[in-house]
This record gives sequence, C-alpha cells and structure tokens, in this order.
Amino acid sequence: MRFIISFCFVLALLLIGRFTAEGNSCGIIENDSLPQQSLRAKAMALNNQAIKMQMSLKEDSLKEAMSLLKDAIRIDSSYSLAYINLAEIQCGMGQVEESVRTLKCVLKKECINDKNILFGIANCYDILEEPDSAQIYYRESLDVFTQTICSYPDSIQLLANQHFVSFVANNDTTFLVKFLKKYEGKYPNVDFLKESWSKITKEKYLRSKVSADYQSVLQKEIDNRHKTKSN
Amino acid sequence: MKTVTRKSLNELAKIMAVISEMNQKMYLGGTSGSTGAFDESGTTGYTGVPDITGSASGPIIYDGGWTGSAGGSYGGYGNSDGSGSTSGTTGVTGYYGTSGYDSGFTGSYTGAYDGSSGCLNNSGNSYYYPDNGNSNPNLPNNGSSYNNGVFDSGSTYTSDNPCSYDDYCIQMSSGTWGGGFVQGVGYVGSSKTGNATDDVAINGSSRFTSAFNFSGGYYKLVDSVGVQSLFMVKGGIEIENGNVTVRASARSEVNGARYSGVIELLVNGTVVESQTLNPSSCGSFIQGGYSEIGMASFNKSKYGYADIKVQLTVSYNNSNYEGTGGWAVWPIKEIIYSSK
Repeated sequence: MRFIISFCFVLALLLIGRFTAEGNSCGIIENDSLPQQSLRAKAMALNNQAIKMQMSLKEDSLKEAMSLLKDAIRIDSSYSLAYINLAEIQCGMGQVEESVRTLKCVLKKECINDKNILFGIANCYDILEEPDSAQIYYRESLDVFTQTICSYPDSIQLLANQHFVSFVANNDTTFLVKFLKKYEGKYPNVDFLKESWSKITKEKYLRSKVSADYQSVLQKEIDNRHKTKSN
Repeated sequence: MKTVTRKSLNELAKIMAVISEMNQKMYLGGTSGSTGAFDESGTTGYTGVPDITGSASGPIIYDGGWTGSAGGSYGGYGNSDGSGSTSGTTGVTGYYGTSGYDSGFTGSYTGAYDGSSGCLNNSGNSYYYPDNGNSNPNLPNNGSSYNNGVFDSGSTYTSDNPCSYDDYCIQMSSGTWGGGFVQGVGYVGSSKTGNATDDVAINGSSRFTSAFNFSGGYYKLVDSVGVQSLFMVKGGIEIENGNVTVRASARSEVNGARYSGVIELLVNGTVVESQTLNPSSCGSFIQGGYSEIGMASFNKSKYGYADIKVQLTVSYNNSNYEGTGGWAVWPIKEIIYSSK
C-alpha cells in the first residue's frame, strides 16, 4: 500500500514537471517557483513595459510587446490582463487564431465564463468569417451579462457593455439607440457615447480590431482555415 | 495699479507682446462677429478674410501674409485686477472695447473653449492664452464684457457662437462652408480655398484647411472597462505652401489616459515620412473634455503632384488601471487628407 502511494506521488510529480516543462495549452512555459504576490508584481511590471512598447505603434515594438507579455504570463499564469493585452495585439497584427487561443487560455485558467473574454472570442471568429462559431460565443457572453446584471441591476456601465455586445452580436444598432435613449442623463457623458456611436457599424468595429497593415496576414489565415475545412 | 492709456496700434506694438503669426492666421478678423474683417480700404466689411489682392469681390482666400486691419470692437486692455479700460472705440481702426481683460496672466490656453475648464484670470473669468509663458495683451475680445478672450473669426461662426462639428462637415462636404469657428477644431477657413479632391495646395500659395474626427477603442475586453475605453480624436489639417500641419486632440472617459499620435505621409501608397505628434509650444484650442495629442508638420511640395495621403494613427494607454496593471487600446489609423 505504502509503495503504491509513493509511486502515485512520484508519478504525479513527474506529470506536473512534464507539463510545466512543455508549457501549457497556450504554449507558454510557466514559472511557479516564487510567492504569488512577488510573481504578480513582476508580471505587472512586464505588462506595463509591454503597454509602453505598444504605444510606439511600430512592428518591432509590437513584437517586443508580445514577447514581454508572454514573459509576464510565464511568470504569473493567472494574470488575465496580460493574456487580454497579448490577445489584442495578436488580433491587431492579424494573428487572429493565436488570439483565440490566448483568450481561451484565460477561460481555462480562470475556470469562469468571463463575459468580455467570450465576446472577444466571438469577435475573432467573426473576423475569421466563421459566423456560426461567433454566435455561440456571443450567446454565451450575453448569458453571462444577463446573470451579472441580475446581481448588479443598477450598474449602468454593465448595461452599456451589454447593449454594445448585443449590437455586435445582432449587427443591429438599435441596441445602442435604445441604451442612449433610456440612459440619457444617467450615464456619465452620454453625449460622448452618442457622438462616437453615431457612425459605428459592426463592420467598422471589427475592422478597428485588426490593423490595415496586417490585413494580408489575416487573409492568409482565413484562406488556410477555409482550405483545412474543405479538406 | 497699472493704467493703460489709449494708444495707436503701432505704439502698442512697440511696448506690448504681439500675437504670433500662427495665431494671427487663426483668429484674423476679430470683430464684433457680425461685420467681419475689413479690407484695406477700411470701409467694406465682409464675413471672410480678404484674398491676396484685397479685393472685396474676389475669392475669399487667405494667403497667409495679410495681417489686415480688424474692424469692429476690440476688447480693451485690462489691469491686473481685470477691470480694464472703459475708453474703447469701435469702427474700422478701433482697438478698444468696453471691457478689458487681465493682461498680466501667463497661463496656458489649452482649456476648453466653452469656458468649462479654461484658465482663470485674476478676476475669475475664463480665458485662453498662449502657452508660451508670455502674456498676450493684444488678444482682443468681441467687445462684450469679459468674453472668453478669443478672437472672433470674423464670420457668422465665432468663438462665442461656434459651428457644431456635424454642421461644419455637412457644409464642408456640400461646398457651402464659408469659414468660421468650428466646435472642437478652432478657426477653419473657407472651403473655397480648396477641398480634399484637388491638390491646389501642393505647390501653390493658397491655404487649405480641413477638420477631421474619428473614434476607436470601442470595447476593451477588461472587466469594468468595456465601452468605457472608447476614444475620439478631433483635429485639423492645414496645408500652406506645401507645408502640412496636423493638430489633434483626443478624449476618453478613462482617467489617466495617455495619448500617442503619429502622422505618416504616403506618396502613391508608400509611407515616405513619419512623425510623432508633440504638444504645440504655443498651445492649442481644445474642446472641453479633450486632451492635446499634439501637432506635427512636414513639407510635401518636394513630392510634386503625386497621389498624396496623410494618415494619422492614434492610441492611448492607461499605465496602471485600478492598480491591476496597464492596458492600451489598439491604435486607429485614419486617412485625414487625400489629394485625389
């Protein structure tokens, strides 16, 4: 009996070791050797450095920013903000499949259905011209919104986000109009939203997520996916 | 208390700071707003600014070199307590109004033109002054008591009565824009100086101005941010003698947003020049709630009559959102000028 327990323990250690050595499903090797607080501080510093790199808007800087964010995740694999920042840069640079993978990693890590992450994944599928997959995630996102709003019915911010997600999911700007009408005077600076939303379309929103400079990268990805599916 | 006596404009120019050439161009024609600028004869008022020939009947084009005589009432020269002179005159060569402003104030004028967040002078009124650390006592107002210290445009749309951006866009696109003060942009010349489809400004001496606005950062996937990450960019582009100057400001609802902007010059679709927008040394007019991204300029005349585009890229970050670490919005690129 004692031998079996020891064997199981050693096997478990070996498996954990193998997993951390090969990286998680995001392809990023994690480091759990430091206390959590210290890990988070280090990861946050890397994340903030990446944000500054991103602001220079140059390709080299964006690649460097991605590398820093991967380092941040490696140090603190539960730091979801770094995943989100990484996923948005990946998407912006036309690496939309990678972006989906990164966002799905957050869901897996957090073991929760984050409404924003679900929305992000849906956006990616829409960009990849896979509307059926996109709709699944839009629905999930809106379900989580409904549940959250039940707990925080007075959060206008939450309602604004929900209406925006509904607009994209349904490709219907009346959701935005409804929100603006209903919450005029209640939402801070509703005029600002009104001005910005007055010209928005779903297409414009999705286009804003991928830089025009990387459209060819994206097109290649879309073509490859179509080929794989047809095969 | 300093007493200011009535002097001629020439005498005043010797002893007091003179408004910069750029500001002259922006606010030329400061008057009561109803009569507009006068031509050199000093008798006939019209709502634009005179063309290079000074002809009242000619096209309303400002060549950048005419500093003209502004008609109507100017604000008087005030004292440090803001009481000002009361001996103003009106008319073709008048330069005194009925109320003064504080000529000793040295603050910046990057606040809102609507007065909501502008600088205060000693008497507690809202004013906007160049951000060069110098007082500028030559800034006239519209002759009314303590107005916002901004020159009138000399047309129907003045700093006191600006044209909304949407109305401006409609008029500009329909070719009926006659010049004036545009909300969030500042003074924009007449559309008769050119439009985005011609290339009159490449080598010519005429001046082209246009305004732009666009949004980005529609939704950040971070919990408690979402639509709050939205940002809007407003600005203007000015082309004169081949020199392209871009000014831009931005607004978002996120505290601590730090903006970054880059302009690129594309010739036949290829980026040939790129510049980062930096805050203007002489300040800028900005709509309430907006922050200055900056300005940048370059000369495009060396590229001749090629297909030329000016592209502006803007992004912002929030370096430490609620103590959880920073995030940035994905940059938005927009063509703000196209020669074809």
